[in-house]
Amino acid sequence: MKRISTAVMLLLLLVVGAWGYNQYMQKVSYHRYLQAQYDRSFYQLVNSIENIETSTGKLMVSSQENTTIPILSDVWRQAFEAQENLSQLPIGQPELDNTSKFLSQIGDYSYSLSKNVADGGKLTDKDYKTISELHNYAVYLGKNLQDLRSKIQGGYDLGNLRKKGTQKMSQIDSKILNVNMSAVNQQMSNYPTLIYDGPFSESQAKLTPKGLTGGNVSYDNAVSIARRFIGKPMDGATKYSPNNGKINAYGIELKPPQNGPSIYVNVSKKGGHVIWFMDQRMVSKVNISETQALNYAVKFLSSHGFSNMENTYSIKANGTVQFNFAPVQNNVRIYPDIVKVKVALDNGDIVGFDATSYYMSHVNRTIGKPKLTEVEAQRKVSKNLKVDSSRLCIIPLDGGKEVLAYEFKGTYGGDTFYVYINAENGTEEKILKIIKTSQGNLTM
Amino acid sequence: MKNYSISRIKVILLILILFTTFCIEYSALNMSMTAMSNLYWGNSGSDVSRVQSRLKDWGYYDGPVDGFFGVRTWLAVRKFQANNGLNVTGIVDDETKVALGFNTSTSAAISSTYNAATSTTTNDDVYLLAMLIDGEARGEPFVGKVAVGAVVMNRVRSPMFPHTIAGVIFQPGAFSAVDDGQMWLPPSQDSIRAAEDAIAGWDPTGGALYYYNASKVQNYWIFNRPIITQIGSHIFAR
Repeated sequence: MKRISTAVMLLLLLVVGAWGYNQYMQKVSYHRYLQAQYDRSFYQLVNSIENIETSTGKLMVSSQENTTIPILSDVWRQAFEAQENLSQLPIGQPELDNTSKFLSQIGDYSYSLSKNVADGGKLTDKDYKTISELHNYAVYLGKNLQDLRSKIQGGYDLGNLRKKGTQKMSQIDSKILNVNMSAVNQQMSNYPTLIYDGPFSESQAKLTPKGLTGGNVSYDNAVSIARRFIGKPMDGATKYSPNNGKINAYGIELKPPQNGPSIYVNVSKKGGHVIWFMDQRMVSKVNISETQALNYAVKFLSSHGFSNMENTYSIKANGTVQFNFAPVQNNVRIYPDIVKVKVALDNGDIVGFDATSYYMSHVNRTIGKPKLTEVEAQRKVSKNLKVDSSRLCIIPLDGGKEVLAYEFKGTYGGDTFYVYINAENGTEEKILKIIKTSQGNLTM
Repeated sequence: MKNYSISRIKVILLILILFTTFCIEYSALNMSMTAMSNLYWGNSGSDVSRVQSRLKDWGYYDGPVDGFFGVRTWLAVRKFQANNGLNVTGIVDDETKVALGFNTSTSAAISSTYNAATSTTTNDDVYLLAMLIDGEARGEPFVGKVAVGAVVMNRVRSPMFPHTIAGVIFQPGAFSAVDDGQMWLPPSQDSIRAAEDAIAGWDPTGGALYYYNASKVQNYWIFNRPIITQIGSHIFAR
């Protein structure tokens, strides 16, 4: 009996041992796989930096646009790839901040230069000076990354790259901080990414709000402003943290009667404007149509001092519709000053309001006469586009500039596009494509 | 006596065999779930959640988005099929998936002239962001959830971070919910709602790039970041 139970124990031990060995082997193989992924990112990063070095070097001696444009495009592409690979490394973000920013900026800079050359411009002495400066930083970065590579070579230890990499990268990063990007406009770092929420709604490159008028208000004053703005009886108001983001504002949490979910409101300290509010209520029934909802939104805006607003875009989700509005001045639509209003489809209540863009950029604009007529501008649009409608508008450009343009809405092969032609000089400033989704249309 | 012991060994062996087969079956089951197959009563998982939330958006379904294909989901699918002229089966098959706006594996013929685009990955972005929000801010007020989503969107636009939603979320060490696996639970309806708002441009933080939980902060460098605001238990910083 004793011998048999020993045999059983031995067998069990063997089974457990086999199981443990199997687990260990699995761990080792995952480990190697992960290490290989990290190594790949790291090697590709070094590779891209070396290519940036080479290309910026070539730029210094290129003189014709047929070579300059491809080289600039290559720098742009390599910078993007380098940044992508950099963010895959198991190194903390604070050690990467400046390096990552440097790569984005060198990419954006070469992109804007290649656009400039394509428009018939030439690289100036100042451009060459900036390029050589950027080249030197790329050389510095490349040398130090090669240094790091030799240190962590052959180590199958994940901690190796993490530890030594973090140390080295923070050294590199503090040095990169000194990059003098004076020639590279700070605002050029506004990377051309997807626009998810309608034309130009993420156009807040400007750093100081332009649209706040009036003197400072006290917190108590702000609370009564918030209550009046919501326009419904509220039980209490609690102070939550103020906001020191784009617009300095008081944070107010309004409690509706009967213990419903509260409403968060931000009221600007300067001028006492409601910057945004969000009602956290869940909407579960749909009783009114989108057209009715639009009427409620328009009524809400005009009763709060936003007159001459035109609906530019809408998106429907979770029992609510979000409408974007832009002001219209002398029949010109002003896209930078967007206001968002969200309407609940159960009772038509306004459950969301956001005028951040509006208060960041709204000023009294003097709109000049367009140099081109609409017919002249339309001649600049591609023959492929079947134009359905057109209008004059002001659109934001990269770098915080604004420009008067003709907007042409049209279709090609079943897809819908917006094309913007500069009303001063006929340049094609922007092309947006509409993506249809179940909730509404997106522009990209 | 001897027979008894041998049968005991047999029992142990049998249990072991059963256990191994169970393990294999279980992993095979998991694998079959990842390829989006037809969905029917009794299924569960993220695909079911996607169907439920779509049906809910369109007013067919009023139950919770819990990722479980139960009687209410079944009724909602049937109602949807009846309204859209499909075979009323209560099974989410290829035709129903297309009508619901999901991609199926069947590929259309590619012609030489220009074709209009038919699909986007935006819904997948919403779901990915919703999973992260759920893992990071489960107990937070709704505005706090939108705020976490807004931080991801602000990072996408920042030159210091990757330029896609997935790139930001899966940056090594960026979010604890990715590291500890909290993110892979099916997100609540509130989190999906918050993700949609964040992608639609709502930002209660006023441009924050970082946030931390005041009571369980692990990275001390974060104290050096200029604080913007606090929502719920999260402190948001630039």
